[in-house]
Amino acid sequence: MKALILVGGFGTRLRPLTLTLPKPLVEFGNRPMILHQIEALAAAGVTDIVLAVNYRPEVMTAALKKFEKEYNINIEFSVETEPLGTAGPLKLAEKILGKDDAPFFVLNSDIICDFPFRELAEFHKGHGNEGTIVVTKVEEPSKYGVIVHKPDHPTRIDRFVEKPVEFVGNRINAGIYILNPSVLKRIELRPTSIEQETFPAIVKDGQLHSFDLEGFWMDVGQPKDFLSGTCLYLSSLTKKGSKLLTPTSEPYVHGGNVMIDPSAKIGKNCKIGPNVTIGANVVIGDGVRLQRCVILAGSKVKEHAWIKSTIVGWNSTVGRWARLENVSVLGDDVTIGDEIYCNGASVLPHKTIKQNVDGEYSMMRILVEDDGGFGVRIGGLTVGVVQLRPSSCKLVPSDDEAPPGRARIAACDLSSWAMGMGFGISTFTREAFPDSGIYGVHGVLRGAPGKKREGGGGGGEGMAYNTYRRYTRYDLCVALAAESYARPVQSLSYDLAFSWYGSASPSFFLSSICELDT
Amino acid sequence: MASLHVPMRGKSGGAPTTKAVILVGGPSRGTRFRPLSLDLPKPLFEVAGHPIISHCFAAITRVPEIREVFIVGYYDEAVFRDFIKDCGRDHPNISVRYLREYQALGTAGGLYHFRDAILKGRPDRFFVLNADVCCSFPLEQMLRLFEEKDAEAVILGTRVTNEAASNFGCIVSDAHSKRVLHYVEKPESHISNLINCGVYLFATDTIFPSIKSAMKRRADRPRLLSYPSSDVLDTQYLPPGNDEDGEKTEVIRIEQDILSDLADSRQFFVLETKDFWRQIKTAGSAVPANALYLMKAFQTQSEELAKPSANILPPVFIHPTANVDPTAKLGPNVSIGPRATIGAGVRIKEAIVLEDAEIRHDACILYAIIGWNSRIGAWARVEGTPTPVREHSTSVVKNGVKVQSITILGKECTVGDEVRVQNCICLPYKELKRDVANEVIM
Repeated sequence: MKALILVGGFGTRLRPLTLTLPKPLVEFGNRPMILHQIEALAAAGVTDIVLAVNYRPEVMTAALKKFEKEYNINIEFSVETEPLGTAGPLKLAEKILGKDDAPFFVLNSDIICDFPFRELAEFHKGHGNEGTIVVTKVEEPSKYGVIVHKPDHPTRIDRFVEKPVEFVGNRINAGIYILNPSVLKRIELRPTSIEQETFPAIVKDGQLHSFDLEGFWMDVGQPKDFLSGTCLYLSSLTKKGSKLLTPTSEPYVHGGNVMIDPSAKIGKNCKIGPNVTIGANVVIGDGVRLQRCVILAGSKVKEHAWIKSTIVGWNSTVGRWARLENVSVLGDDVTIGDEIYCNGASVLPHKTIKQNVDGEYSMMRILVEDDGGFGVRIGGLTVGVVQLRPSSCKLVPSDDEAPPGRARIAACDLSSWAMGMGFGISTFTREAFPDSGIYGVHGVLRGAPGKKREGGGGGGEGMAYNTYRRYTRYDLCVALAAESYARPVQSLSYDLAFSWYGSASPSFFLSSICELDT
Repeated sequence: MASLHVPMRGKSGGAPTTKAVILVGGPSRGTRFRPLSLDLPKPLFEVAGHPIISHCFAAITRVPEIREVFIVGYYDEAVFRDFIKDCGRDHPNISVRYLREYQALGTAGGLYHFRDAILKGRPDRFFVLNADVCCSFPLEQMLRLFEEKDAEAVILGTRVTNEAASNFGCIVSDAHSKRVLHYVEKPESHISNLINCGVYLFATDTIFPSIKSAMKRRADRPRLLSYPSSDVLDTQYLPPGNDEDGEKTEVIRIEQDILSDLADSRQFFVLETKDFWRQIKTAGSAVPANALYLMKAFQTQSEELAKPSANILPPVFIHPTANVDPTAKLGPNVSIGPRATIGAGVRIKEAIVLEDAEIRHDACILYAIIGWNSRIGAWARVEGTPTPVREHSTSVVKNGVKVQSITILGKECTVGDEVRVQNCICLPYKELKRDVANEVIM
């Protein structure tokens, strides 16, 4: 059998981890994310796997060579020269997927669950139609695209309803499919969405069925979900009595769901768990408290540190009595000083943090609207819109949506955007705006607009049928070297660098005046 | 040339005599020191292992000629009984008496009220020290300047930033002669960055007539005229009252009512100290005061301090009865009170841990005061925001709200395991089970 894994682009949502390693190789439960999928596919009898990627880093080629041997399978890269959405890559890999009449699996690389490939194949054969979508039950279907079945059939899909206002069902697309090669004939070689174009067409012919997923499911494409997914995965291992977990008889294990690589060293008087993974060669000092966190290979957590809801990247060092929490993510080779507090910090590789980082630059994200405006989001809320016109650029705050006391953006003229500027740094200090209560934040938009990606290829909020229809989402990475507000005024400055990756189009330089979460 | 150097001579013909007065205020004055003053009068609060007032007293004992010290305030007599007993035991040749005001007379009014006690034995001069001041009290230097200039009054001054100056009494002086030319309490505009440290040396035959004339002037002329700053008026106008002996009195303060006139007409000089100085007004200011006194003790190689080691970053004061686990890392600028228990792997920095408090293993205490009998859970983090020790403010702005930069837990507070408390003031007997930040917990 054959399978195609939609890997997609740079995994920007999982930065700063993906600045070091391509997303499929980031360890989830101490093993590369893609290995969970490869292993499950191989176990179901799959021999040919196609990885649909936008780019192919050397490190990935080498790693996958190893997996080919280990599982006795063939892995092919299918590299898109232009982004092809979620359906286009299937057409691109037609030669392999369509080489025989057997159905093939398609899955998004960000998905973590108990992959039911064998049962799925059997079910698919059973109904004999063109395609089967794995669906999972959710509590709040109104946030997703929901699947509605034919009234006379328990699994045949009637239609999809995007973000239903009234309850129509609670099953959503889990991003795992099995399709007959005939589906390939329905797809053209152009950027196209499997969720929005291909599936509706199959549904019209009554050829698409759903298959209920048992157990947990999670899209782990971003840090918050990566941590939640880790909890679900570890819980499922506990349920199965997996040998991968550290026995709860160890004195330091607290509450179970703890996975520690055998090469890791644990100090005295530690309290670890629940929901912790500790990678290879990690050193945990005495009196350390860990819960709901991921410590990647080669890192060192020094004595008496306290870590919760945090991903500690490879080869990082966490200082004595440091406290990390609230979805902090440390990149590769980060150093957190002794006694430092990090609240929701996102730290780029090779950085040293010497002062408390207290949530002052929660996730800032920019959405680019079709008309060229930018929505500026901080902490998941749109706080303003940047209107970009050929002659001017303005930042218009949207007061109603700005979370009170958390983030406010002052209206400002951004006409000084320097077109064609590749990279820039500017720093405003508080003195630059005396008495205004506003202090400067500068951002650097670097590179070119990202790939147009509609729908859920490669995962994301868009998994459930393109949540951002009106927007082409550009990922924005907040690089931080910001300083705590409490520092003396003289040295108060924020240093936010936004990186904006992709192809084509000019580069921008944005400096905006924001009042952030003080 | 030696004949030009006229030796100082006291009124009695012998060496001049000097007394000292420590002004302690009263229970209604220490409100900004809450929540700590809810359980202990501010002058008795311990910084660097000793009550605030005893740092003043220690400075006085270093002036050999002072044999008599008065503590003036309106606390109950019982408050200072033990302190005075201890003073008598350690310094049997110095008499220490508490003089209680039954009504607030103001700093100068209080001195005048007790003039008979102070003037007994005809001393030539006396020091006045505000107890809420933390400094090195260079009293002997003040005496030297007093004698050198044949002064009638000497004030201790220090330089602060121009922005901070208007919160204090400002002194304009002649750079060369050190003579005070002008004095204004908390001016609205910038006058000078040399400010009043709240430590004075007065000639007895100058100060009491000055206070008397200030009282007379007050009776003759409404106060309004002399204080054009409406702000000052609002906060400082107090209705007149009557003395027990029928003499009409009002609140007369050294700073507002006396110093300005001394600058006009008297031999009034300023000794500018380059050493540390700060006020102990808010409870949070006890942390920098603790740091300053500890640094001073460290510089003078005081035997009281804990010996520096891998886990003791000096200066650290640990009371002999405290129980500190050897794996705990303390300092700099930490005081651990009597019978406090510090568990394994604890970290304490820039903090005061009071009597009988317990800090459980792996907890982290930074820029904080842990109240008497409080309990801090394992892996808890009690944290303030670092402010420079020389900064004269103890608040920071968070979410647009001014909050105390030092976290203070009152008496018998409990912080649960792994809980984080940041920039909070916690009143006595509270239990904190969840993370809190930037709050006053009632």
